[in-house]
Amino acid sequence: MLYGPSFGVVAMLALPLSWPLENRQVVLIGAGAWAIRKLTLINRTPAKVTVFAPLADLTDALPRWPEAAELADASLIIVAFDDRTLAEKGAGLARTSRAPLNVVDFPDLSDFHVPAIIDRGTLSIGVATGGGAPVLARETRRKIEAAVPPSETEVAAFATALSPRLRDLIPNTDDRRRAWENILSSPATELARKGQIDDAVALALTNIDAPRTGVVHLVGAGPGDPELLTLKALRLLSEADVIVYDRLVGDGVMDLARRDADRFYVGKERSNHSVPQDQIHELLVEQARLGKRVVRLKGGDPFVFGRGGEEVEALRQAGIEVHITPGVTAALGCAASAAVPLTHRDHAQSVTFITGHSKDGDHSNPLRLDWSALSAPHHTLVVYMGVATAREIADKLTRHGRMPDTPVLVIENGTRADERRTLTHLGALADTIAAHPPKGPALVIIGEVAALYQDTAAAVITETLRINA
Amino acid sequence: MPRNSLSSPACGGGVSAKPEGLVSMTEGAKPPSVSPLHHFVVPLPRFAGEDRKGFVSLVGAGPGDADHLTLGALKALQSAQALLYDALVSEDILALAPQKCVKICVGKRGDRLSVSQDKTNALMVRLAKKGLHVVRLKGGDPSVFGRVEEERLYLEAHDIGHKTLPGVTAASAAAAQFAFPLTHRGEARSVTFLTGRTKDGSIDLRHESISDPMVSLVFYMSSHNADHIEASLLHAGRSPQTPVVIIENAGRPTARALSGTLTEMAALVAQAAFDGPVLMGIGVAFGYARLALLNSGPVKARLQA
Repeated sequence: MLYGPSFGVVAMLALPLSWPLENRQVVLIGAGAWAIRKLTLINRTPAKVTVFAPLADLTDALPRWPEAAELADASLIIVAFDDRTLAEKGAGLARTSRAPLNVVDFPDLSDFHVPAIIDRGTLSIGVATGGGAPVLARETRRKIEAAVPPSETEVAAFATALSPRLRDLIPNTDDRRRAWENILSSPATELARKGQIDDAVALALTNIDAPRTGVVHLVGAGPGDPELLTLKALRLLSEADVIVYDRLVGDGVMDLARRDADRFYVGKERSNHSVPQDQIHELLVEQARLGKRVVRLKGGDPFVFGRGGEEVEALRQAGIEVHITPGVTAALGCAASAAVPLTHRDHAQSVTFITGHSKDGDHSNPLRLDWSALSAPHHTLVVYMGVATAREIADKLTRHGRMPDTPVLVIENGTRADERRTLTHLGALADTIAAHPPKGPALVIIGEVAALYQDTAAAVITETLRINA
Repeated sequence: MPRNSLSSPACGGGVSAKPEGLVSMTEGAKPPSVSPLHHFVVPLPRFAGEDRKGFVSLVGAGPGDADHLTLGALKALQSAQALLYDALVSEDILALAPQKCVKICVGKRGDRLSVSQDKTNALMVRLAKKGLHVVRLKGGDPSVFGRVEEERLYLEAHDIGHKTLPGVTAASAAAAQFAFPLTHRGEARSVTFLTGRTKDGSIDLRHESISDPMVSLVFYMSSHNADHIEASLLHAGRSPQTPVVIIENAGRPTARALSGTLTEMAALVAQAAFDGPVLMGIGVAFGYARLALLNSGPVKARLQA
């Protein structure tokens, strides 16, 4: 019978305990891939492992069933056979020992189950459903994997190293908890993520009494699809106190940000209604000076037409600590979703990104470029924000020798659900755009590679992916 | 926690389970020596939909660090049943694939190609035809110098569904790590990615040897051609004082950057004796890399002017 606690929720079917294995012995009895998988898991712990392979199919294992005496000192016993009869025989032998027993895939023969595990070194996370819903456990594990990136391994090592020092320095439990909260969102922890554990401990101890200082992270949000956010960007968004973002950041991306973060929207359509760049600088400096963790979230990559360079300069002049997290720039996102390469051994040995749109405050003409170089064949040209100046760009290219029949792919809202692609050629580009004016951000890919675009690919792929998901 | 080599096979290192008769590992490579079980052969695990058509995800892994993996790439990895990966993909990333996923290093690393493109293509198709979700994990971004089109065409010729997921390219990773923009208002209006690694090993700078000082140039996999590139750009009229940054292992904790001017580029590359993948950035914007000295923490010690 299932019964829950007084508030009426169904009880946990199993307790996800943790079982220290240092200086302990684990006995594995099994065969084939199942045994190897469990051995791989146990080998990630400090346990001593003895492997019995009665089918004599494993090397570095004893090719027989164990004797009772050989099981007496085991801390855990795992039986892993692809076959119920063999599993039952193994379980029977294991019962001569008092060690808890797991029989892989046969929960009814087992004392304990092995949860879905996220291994981050000292930090390990288990997801258990009492064997009742393994698929649910696996899905939950996926979500946790994304939220707890592999660099958490280093953070765990750092915290383990710092812990005894901090206990000496700050005896009061509440004070120590507050200190930990500060440390885990401080530059010391960032340093630890890079694997510099000793330096990180030193930095944390140096800064222990310092007031919390603000920091600005310039973060690339990718081309629009929230799936193209990096794990690091996701982590920074979930830790931010303040998020400053503009129209090129996809809505789905902001849904992943920390809910109680202050959000500042600084950009609307092109340059018309956006906050001037110097006011963005002021906002970033002001928020950082309040001791906040500020994320300046930018569409694509912060350093490709993102004015990230100017923001870094302004923050440094103000003495604010600044870190940069790269993102997938729009050209790469669009190329992948349209299945068009930007470079190709036969068609393009190089690719150039230009912008067709002059940002506010930038009075230099972005189209003042070396057009004879850009017009060479076997070269891919990607124009960001090129809709308004498409006619001018096409004219310049053809005048400098690019053939009017050069293929051109126009991608609107690239990587988003409402992505729209139009294949045309240089001579018809301006008219194509005039006939179907893009409403969202658009990217123009000019060059031989654009001809590799196949219109039907997307639908087929989506269908196949659904089957395989 | 000590990690046994079995947990995440490094390229050319341990392989926990070799699918029988299915995969020929790196040609002429020695058998993996670190795995205690390397002689053991398991049949490929059976999956429910084996008669079903497989699917290939062509995935950009970014510059190497798992931090720069996209959420989409993570999902693809987590549902991978077979993984074909480049040499530069880190163990942290490989460990994100399920344990029962077959992991095969196809060892592509610039000129050091241990499995030919033809074999990689054939392997991809064979695994997919078993009904598996195959993830072809490529360093950086697949659309930039990733030869992804050859793989897509091969898959289409064999009627296998595929999808491409972009990744953070090395130039973006390097820019973030050493705090220089690739484009910059009034100083760098465009950025060009080039490679000195063409089909016949030559480098063609006819149209890239642009003298326009407003263009940032980023050379991928071209350090062996540094002297040629330096000479060509000077000849084309680029200023000898043009800032240059040379980055090894961009986007990884082991990254190293050297800075100088165009006339020093080849000498810097020769001195550094790089072993990892190298990017060379040439242009005014790369002058900002020196700003990394101000407050970028651990990176500053590695930026050698």
